[in-house]
Amino acid sequence: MTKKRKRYPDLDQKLERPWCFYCERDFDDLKILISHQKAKHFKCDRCGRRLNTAGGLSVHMNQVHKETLTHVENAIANRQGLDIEIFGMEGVPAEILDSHNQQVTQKHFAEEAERARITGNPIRGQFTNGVAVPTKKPRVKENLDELEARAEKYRYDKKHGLLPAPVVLEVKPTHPVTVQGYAAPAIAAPPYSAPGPFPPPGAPQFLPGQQFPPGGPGIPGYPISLPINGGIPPRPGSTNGPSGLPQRPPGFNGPPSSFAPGQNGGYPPEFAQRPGGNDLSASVDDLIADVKSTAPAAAEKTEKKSKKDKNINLVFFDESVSPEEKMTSLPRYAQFVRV
Amino acid sequence: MSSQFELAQNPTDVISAVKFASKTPTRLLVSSWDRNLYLYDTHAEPGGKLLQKYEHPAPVLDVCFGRDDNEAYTACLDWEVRRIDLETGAQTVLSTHEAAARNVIFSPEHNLLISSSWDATLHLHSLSTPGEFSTVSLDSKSFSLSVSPTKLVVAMASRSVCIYDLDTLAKAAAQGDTVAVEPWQRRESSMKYMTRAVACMPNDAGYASSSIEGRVAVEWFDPSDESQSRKYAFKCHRQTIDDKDMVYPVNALAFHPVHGTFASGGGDGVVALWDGVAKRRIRQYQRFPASIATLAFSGDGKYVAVGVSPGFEDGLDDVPDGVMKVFIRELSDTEAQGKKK
Repeated sequence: MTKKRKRYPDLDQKLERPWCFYCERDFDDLKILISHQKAKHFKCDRCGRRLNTAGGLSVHMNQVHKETLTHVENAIANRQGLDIEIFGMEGVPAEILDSHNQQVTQKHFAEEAERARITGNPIRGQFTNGVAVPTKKPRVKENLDELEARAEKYRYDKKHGLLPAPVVLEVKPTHPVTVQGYAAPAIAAPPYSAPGPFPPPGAPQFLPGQQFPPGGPGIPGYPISLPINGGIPPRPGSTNGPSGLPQRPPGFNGPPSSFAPGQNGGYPPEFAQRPGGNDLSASVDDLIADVKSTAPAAAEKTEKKSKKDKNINLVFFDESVSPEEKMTSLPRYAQFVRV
Repeated sequence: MSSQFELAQNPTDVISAVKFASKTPTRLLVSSWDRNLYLYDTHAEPGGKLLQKYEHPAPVLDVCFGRDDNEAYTACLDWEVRRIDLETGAQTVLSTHEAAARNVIFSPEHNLLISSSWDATLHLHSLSTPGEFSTVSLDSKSFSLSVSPTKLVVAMASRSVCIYDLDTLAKAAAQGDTVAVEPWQRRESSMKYMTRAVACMPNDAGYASSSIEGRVAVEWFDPSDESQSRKYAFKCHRQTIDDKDMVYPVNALAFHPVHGTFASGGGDGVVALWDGVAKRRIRQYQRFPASIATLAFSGDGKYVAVGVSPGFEDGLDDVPDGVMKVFIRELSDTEAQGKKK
């Protein structure tokens, strides 16, 4: 029985995998690698005999077919040489082995980070040994008077337009849920992070540049991130102000209706029903409108990028003029072209 | 046993076509941009023997054998379609297009010679009535021709493909002058880029076509949905150089007359053998020193001739310097055989 393979093998397992020097492909075990090499790189194209090494094939070609082997078949550009004797993983030069391992390691961490980004789960091994994932903010004690005073100050500020500028949280755009995302607000956004029954408007959360497609509700363009927001239940009067929530990813396509009470995890349900909440919702509307106008531009940008990424070079390209027709326009054929 | 060698005396400019005689598998015609048509006996002596050279007034773009192994037809840049008597060297002009004649092809079943041109016409020459021909206008200028026992496939600019019924064409050839012939089927190429070559399956079931963007499509004649849903296309003749995907044109296609498999030749200098039914690559040969311009199997399927010339590439003022050679490969019995059922 073969070993059960993990869906996401760890780095050591990846580094252990045998791989082919000639084409950089990796295999489950050495036997398969060797049969791959015999079939793809050490097979005689005259008689189909599978040799064990490039040297063996060269001797075979020489003696049986009286031909000289110039390069190893199906090999990547600078690995076609016959001078290195490869059998399975034996004979692979140390520096190439190193650079391969480095590549595998790099790829491993890139994949891991990407997976963490998509799933929102912490990277494996980061919170082991009893270190809990820091999902909670420390509880802040505040008595009713202090709380009232803060709320009053907030209302006053709001009325006189003294609210500080929206605080931009320093969160990497590709990481919707990161550890900093939880820890930072305590320092970065002091007026909001303190607990209170009247959380500040969500304004700082929804930064211009985020995408709110006109498509409206029901299009979770970023489906995996929904549970993240929904996963934190509404806590009326809890210690968690909205700024304690992870920032939404710039690519988040949340429906505008997520502003409605109860739907957005961070907002206490009574928030929208408060008397005097009208001006708040108005400012939120402004923000939505603002964001909406920038959204199509952002979408266009990402589309352009994906096309550019392909990096394909056509050796010959024309819509309707064949290579032969182009050749006839060369000066040396000019005398033969009839008009 | 298989072996490969190159002809000793090769054309001095880009090779446009290689064709084996239908009856003698060692008789080979090679046409070239150096204005000559070459006739070889590939096995008379090591490296083949150049039997004769037939000079033309302008580069020769295509050649085909006629009714027997002593008759050839050429398509020439000077707009003319010629008959060459390979014995005496006598040349007769059959017809004149209004632009360079691009391809000539002979259908032995219908005794019909068809020439195509960049003037967007076909000329139909019924060889039983010499000196007469009919003109059929096409949708666009023609790039490649191929015949099966009953069909003619014409690949044209603007990605259009027309399939003609050879019986209809043979009748039209007898009428003379300009005849309006509706194609049996009119299709759009299933590939996004310019069609480079077409080749019909020897069993009359369908054809393969290739494009300038490293791709080959296999399609069937039968218009039923069931057959049409079998068509497919695949990428080939590509290379990754420094993280860039280099995509080469697939210049040549040829079906093996016995096994029904086919060979493709690309601008990357690679010849690959494919099993179109099993959708498998059978083998790929060691890279040739320059772009593959043309390919042909001999009538008995024992040999394949590969015309190697530097190909025209974008962004260059001239064709790059490079090898111009014809390689002959003797195939072992099972070399071109597809997957066994």
